[in-house]
Amino acid sequence: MNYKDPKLQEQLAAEYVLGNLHGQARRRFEHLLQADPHLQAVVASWSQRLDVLNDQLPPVTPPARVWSEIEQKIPQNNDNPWRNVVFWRRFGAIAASIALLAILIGGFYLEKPDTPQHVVFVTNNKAQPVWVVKAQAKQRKFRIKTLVPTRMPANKVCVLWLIWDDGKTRPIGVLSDNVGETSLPFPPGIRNTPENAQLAVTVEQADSPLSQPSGEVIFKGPWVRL
Amino acid sequence: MSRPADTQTALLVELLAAIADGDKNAFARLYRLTSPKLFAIALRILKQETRAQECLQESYLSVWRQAAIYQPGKASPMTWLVTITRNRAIDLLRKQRTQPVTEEAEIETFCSPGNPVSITDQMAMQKCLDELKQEQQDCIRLAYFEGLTHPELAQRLALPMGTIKTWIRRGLQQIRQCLES
Repeated sequence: MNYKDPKLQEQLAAEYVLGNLHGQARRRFEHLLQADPHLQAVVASWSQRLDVLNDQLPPVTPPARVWSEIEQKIPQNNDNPWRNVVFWRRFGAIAASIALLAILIGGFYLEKPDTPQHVVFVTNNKAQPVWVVKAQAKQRKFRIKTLVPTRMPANKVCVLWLIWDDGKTRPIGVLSDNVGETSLPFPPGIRNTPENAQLAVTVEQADSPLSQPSGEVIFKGPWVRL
Repeated sequence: MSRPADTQTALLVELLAAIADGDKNAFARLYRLTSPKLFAIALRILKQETRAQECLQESYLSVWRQAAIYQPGKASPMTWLVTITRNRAIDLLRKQRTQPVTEEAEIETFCSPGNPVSITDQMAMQKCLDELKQEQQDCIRLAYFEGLTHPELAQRLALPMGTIKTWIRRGLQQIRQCLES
């Protein structure tokens, strides 16, 4: 099957949204979908079209206890230090402090001034960097510096993900809680510097397999070229 | 929900951005605005009140966790929320099929005057659906709301599987051409 054929893409996307692709065909389609922004757009337009069928359903207010149970299951503390996506919206304002930080951390990333360096500062909700991740394309690994110790709830870990410009999310590994430096290899298939990629951090169950993020997204941000 | 569609969409996008920052009030507001529609979808697919409540709860917990990765350019917020709920409901439905059904609820369907937010879209879609043969319409609704596979549809409608496949495929093509014309 030629999955690049627009007619076939339309047909599969429509059947996928309809719920008509099953088993292996569904898994194969979802695999393609992850890596293909065009196919994602085709699926989105079919979702929107067929959503009109839902408009024919009379709305039903759920019983109040459904909301009470949802409310009990979300974190009670509004000041969750790991919810910091807002940081990147304020990125411009604190770029200067990052430059200063670069000087303070010294030699960590500026090994060869002539080689472009790509780093991501993973910050908490007070815009304080907690981890610095540097991509080393030659060695195909990430060097990660934990700047402050983190206190994670029992059985929870922070997991680092690479969102490639094809839209596909690949696991990198578990971030260390302890101050110091570690390194993690590039995910399979990633060779060059992930300049167009983004990094994300989610909180996952310590014993869950690292295939796709399922936990809370606490950080998402682009690489900074230095 | 009597706001114009684009105001409603802009509000939902704003609420999702606030939820991504951990704003519980925004989450409560999103729930109030969208849960009647999502609950109706879950009920229609699962046909059991308790299962539909479970589905709704799990869907909103996913929304809370995943709001930060919602991309407004890719799908409208309502489509994103519906997709999360439908996928969860279909997962639960497949689990449910392996267990005996103990609590059946009578679910009223297709009798609502519809949501004024998308009345134009709804009328266009309705018109396009009406142009299909009745059997094709039944196939599409059964697949969408009951998550039936091709063999299950063939069995339910006592027709060969090849016919079912062709009806659905052609029906979807016709809908697209009709909506674009």
